[in-house]
Amino acid sequence: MKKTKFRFPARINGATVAKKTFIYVVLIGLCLSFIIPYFWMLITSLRTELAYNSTGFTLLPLDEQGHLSLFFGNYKEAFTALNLGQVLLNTLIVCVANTFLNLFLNSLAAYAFARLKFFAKNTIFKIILFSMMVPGTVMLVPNFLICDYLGITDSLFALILPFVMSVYNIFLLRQQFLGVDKGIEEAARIEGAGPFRIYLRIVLPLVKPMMVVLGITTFMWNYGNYLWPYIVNVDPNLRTLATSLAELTGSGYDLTVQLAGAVIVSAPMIIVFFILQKYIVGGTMEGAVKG
Amino acid sequence: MKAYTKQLLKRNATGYAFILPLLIYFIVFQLAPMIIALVISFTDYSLANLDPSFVGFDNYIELFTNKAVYQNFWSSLLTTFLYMLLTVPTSMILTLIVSALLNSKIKGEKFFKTIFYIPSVTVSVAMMVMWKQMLAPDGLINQIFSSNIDFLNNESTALVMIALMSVWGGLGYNVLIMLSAMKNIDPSLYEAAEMDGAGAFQKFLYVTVPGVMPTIFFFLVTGLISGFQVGEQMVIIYGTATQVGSVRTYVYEMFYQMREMSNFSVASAMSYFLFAIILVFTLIQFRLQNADAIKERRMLKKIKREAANEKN
Amino acid sequence: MAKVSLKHIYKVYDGKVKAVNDFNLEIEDKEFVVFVGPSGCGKSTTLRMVAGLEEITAGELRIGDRICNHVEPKDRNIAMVFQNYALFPNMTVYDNIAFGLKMHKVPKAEIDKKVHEAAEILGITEYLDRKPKALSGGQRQRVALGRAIVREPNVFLLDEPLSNLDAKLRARMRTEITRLHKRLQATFIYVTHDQVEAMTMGDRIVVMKGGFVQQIGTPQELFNFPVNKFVAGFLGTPQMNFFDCTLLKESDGSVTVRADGFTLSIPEEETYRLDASVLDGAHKVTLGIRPDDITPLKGEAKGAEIEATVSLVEELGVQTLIYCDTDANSLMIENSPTAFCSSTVEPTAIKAGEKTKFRVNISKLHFFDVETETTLKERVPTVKAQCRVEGGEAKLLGGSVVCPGLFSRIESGTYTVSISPAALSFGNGFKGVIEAVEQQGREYVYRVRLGDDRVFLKSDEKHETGEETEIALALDSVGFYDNGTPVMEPIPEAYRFDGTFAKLKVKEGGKTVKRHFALIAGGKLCLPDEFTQKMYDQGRGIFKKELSYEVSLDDITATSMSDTAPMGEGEGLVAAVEDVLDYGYVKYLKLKLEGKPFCVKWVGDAVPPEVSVSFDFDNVRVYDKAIDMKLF
Repeated sequence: MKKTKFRFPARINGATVAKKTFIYVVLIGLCLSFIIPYFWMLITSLRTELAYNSTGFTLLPLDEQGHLSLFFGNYKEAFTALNLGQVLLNTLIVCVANTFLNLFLNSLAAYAFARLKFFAKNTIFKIILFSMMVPGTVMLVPNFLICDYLGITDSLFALILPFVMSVYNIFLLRQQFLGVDKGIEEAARIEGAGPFRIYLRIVLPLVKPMMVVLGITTFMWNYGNYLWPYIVNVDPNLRTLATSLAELTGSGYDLTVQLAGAVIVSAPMIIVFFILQKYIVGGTMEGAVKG
Repeated sequence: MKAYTKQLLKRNATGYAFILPLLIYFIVFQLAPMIIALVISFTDYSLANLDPSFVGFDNYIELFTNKAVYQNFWSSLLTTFLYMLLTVPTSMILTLIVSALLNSKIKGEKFFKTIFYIPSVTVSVAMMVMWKQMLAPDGLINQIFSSNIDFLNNESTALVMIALMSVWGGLGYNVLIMLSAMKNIDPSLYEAAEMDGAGAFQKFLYVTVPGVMPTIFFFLVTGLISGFQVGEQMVIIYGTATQVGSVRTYVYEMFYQMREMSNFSVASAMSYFLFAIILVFTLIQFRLQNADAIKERRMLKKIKREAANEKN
Repeated sequence: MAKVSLKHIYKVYDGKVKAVNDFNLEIEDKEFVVFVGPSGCGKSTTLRMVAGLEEITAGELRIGDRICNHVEPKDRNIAMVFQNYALFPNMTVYDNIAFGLKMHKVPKAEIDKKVHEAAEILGITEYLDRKPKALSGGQRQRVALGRAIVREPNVFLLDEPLSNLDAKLRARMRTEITRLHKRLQATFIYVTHDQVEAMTMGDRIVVMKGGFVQQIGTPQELFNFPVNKFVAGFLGTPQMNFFDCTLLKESDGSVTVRADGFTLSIPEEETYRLDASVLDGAHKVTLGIRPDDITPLKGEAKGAEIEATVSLVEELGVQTLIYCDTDANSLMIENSPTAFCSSTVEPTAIKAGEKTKFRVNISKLHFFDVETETTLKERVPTVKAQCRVEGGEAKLLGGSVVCPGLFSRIESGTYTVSISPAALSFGNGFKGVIEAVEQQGREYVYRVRLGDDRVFLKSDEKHETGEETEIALALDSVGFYDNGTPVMEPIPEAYRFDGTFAKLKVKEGGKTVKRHFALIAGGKLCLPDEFTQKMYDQGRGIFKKELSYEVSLDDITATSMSDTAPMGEGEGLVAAVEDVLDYGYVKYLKLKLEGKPFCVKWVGDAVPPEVSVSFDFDNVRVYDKAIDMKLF
């Protein structure tokens, strides 16, 4: 009896399979180049300096004899080296204060430009828009001089105040306010509500999504802001997480300790990112330039 | 007072009340600094000279010409240009390729986008620490390739490495924007190209790239403007006074003058010079952007004239 | 050769949503075929399947005799014009047109020549260095056409190319495209939702609705012989008027049409195609009359008159539309059972509010079944006639037929016979006269008078009206009914059996082997290798699918149990013989499989109590039962 072999059809074109595999290989390779550094940083921070120097390339937390072991001493050292308690407090104060002030004052201004009428409104708006587009680095030196003149150098105020207004935030919030249905405001006005009340109780809640996105981005920007605090504050007790970490790097601590410090400082934001992933990745897309 | 005028005044008062903080901020932290900095750039204000006197354009001239004191001025500009040359084209091409790959129908687009975006949420200092250790003589890279190159202190490799860091870190954000632009391309253009015999690469070249040209332009401009201002990464890695000449960019030199030399007037002069360069570039970009619109207007006028002539 | 053949094409999304159902069409070389229908009817999807932009779920597509189901679009030698033109915005007109040639690596000089030629034909030479955004809609349209014609393909596909143009330009481009078709001598497949485009441009039209083909034919055929209410209402402007009515056959043979507001009388000649059951005066029927067939009456027209009040008069220049209502109190323009529209090309002074009489063109009446909406006046209908059975003889159609084997089984009496055209052919049988001949494509439709009855048949033989002829009747295709109850049903041409496909272990000559079987009605039929491979070609899921096997009568063989070759255990289909039907020239056994009766041809005299049934799997068709899709 003949034994015939029956074949299922090759539903997938050979060329398409090759093409797709190639794409996946490239993308996954690229992904690895992103994941490995972080992973290495995390693992190495859990090893002793001795262990690190004794072994060659490895992505496992091995000690000097090649056994798996987790060493938390680096973190202890980094805690003190970073002066974590004080520094964390400083950072939180600055981030929260700046974000709060930023959102509040910027939305006030944005609302004014969107809805209120006053003399020379458009001219002022254009001037401010244009001048605040001056790149940050250009403003560093002048701002330092002003802070020096005002006597607020070497204080937390210097970290909060100079960044309280942001033209990007004002612009986006103004767009949002323009999109709010005027009828609601007019109804409130007839009821006798003053402009501030309308702004606070009625319109502001309606732009919550944008406020949340801007709040997140502002907070993250403050958290990681290094250059300005470095320039303006010299007192070690006024350091933020960013400047403290930079100090740690330059001071000859063990590589493992430095990495532990980096993990401590960067981990919170990354974790928050993974939790809020869709808002951030989605939020950025909404404000993105249309091709 | 007439009721109308009263109302007008009240309206203006309200408006200004709302923007009062903004105005105060603007004057204190934008206008004043800029004016003061401009003024100081014409003096000799520094730690050595706390009672400044006017010196006119001397600071600027010294910067441009005095090779003894300011030997790094022109080389720092060169370094900045070199950096821009390394990062802008590379970043653009990489972003295009990765976006195109993500745009072909594959699964896990969201996953990849998230992974690529991680550096954007990593505190820049932490990221510098990570790279600094990775590129150290006993760091990750050297371990993998069993070599012993001190990447960051080697004159020839230092700038390249920092450029690589920057391209790597910016990929996530760039891809996000580019990808959303790619998705706006009319799919029937791809179909028409397919019918005409275009393969995958040709479709990319003739449909995708032209389709995202405005975005490419956007990246070019923003890349140039932020490229001019590069300096923070170097300061984090090397501090404000490094011996590695090849990483001393223009802004780095500015910090050096300010922090190490406490030469505030010179630092101000440098900021203003930078401002001038960026301004010029922005204006050129404006011109180029509107060049299309101008061409279109001319073309339409021509067509209208033709139509009018035909009637006669 | 640029013939395009679509056989049993289906498009199914997600295994459930059927966008295109059993699309069958043979397109001749150089033909201009139009797919027309409302949005979402599947016309664009079908076009895209021909283009290769959509995957064909089932069925066979041939372009020029080559099976193209899995061929890349660029290798099919076709060109497509898109609805939104799909011109590359950053390239000049020249580059847009040259793109295809460039992709096929045609030398530069030749590209230049061809582009200029195409530009000449379309009149766009002066725009060659402009970019699409500097062109008007009509110019862009022509560039899109240029891009298509420059590659000299066999088949042109056009997907609603004129939808985005204004009415005047559309009319002009219509003639230009038709002229282009004649000049290029290529096959055109054109998709549109505009029935005017379809009627004016197409050699043949395919009307689609909801994924199903409604009717295929020339514009004339579709206009004059619509197969259902949808096609009738879709083609023709203004739309056909529909009325509810009843039909009553009078003693003199004429039929009275009684509608809400008027009465018409149709002479006997026009009623032959109608089935007697609808002529009882109680059956509700939809009457369709085109506005051009209702015109203002001058004088008298007995039995063809409608009196109505005018609601609105629309002067369109060449033609005048008169909207009327037979109910003087309602005066609606549409969407009312008593309102209709009349169209006339004669000058008229009728004004709104006047009561006027209209003449109806009695020979252009259409009738549709109220529920199924199909036409009651089929082109080649199944005819019912009276038949008297006595002894072994049946007297019908002015003659008689002797078949003792058959007629002795039924009681003597009068029966109604249902004669489908498939049962008739020219040959020995009943004598009669050809009363009417019509041409339909390459065939002819005949109305032949046999005795007191008239029958219809289709044949490619040519005969003249008035000719005396003889018609043969295939008894096995005729049904006998007693007041509606079937007494003897016609033998169908094919049967469908539900079943599945499986790979089973069987003992064969002592060894255990794996073989493939069709599991039908509790039995198993061993499958030949070719058939099995075709099943495998459907993919892995074939083993889990519920299938329907369709077998033609000629491919079913029954053998007595003793004659059957020994098979493996449990194999084969065994059915009990319930009855024997002897039509004289052919004998059938009536069998029952799982409660369902079916017939099998039988040769020989001895009839066993049980037979073993086998199929010729070379010709078996397989359907996916869940979605009713023909697999092969």
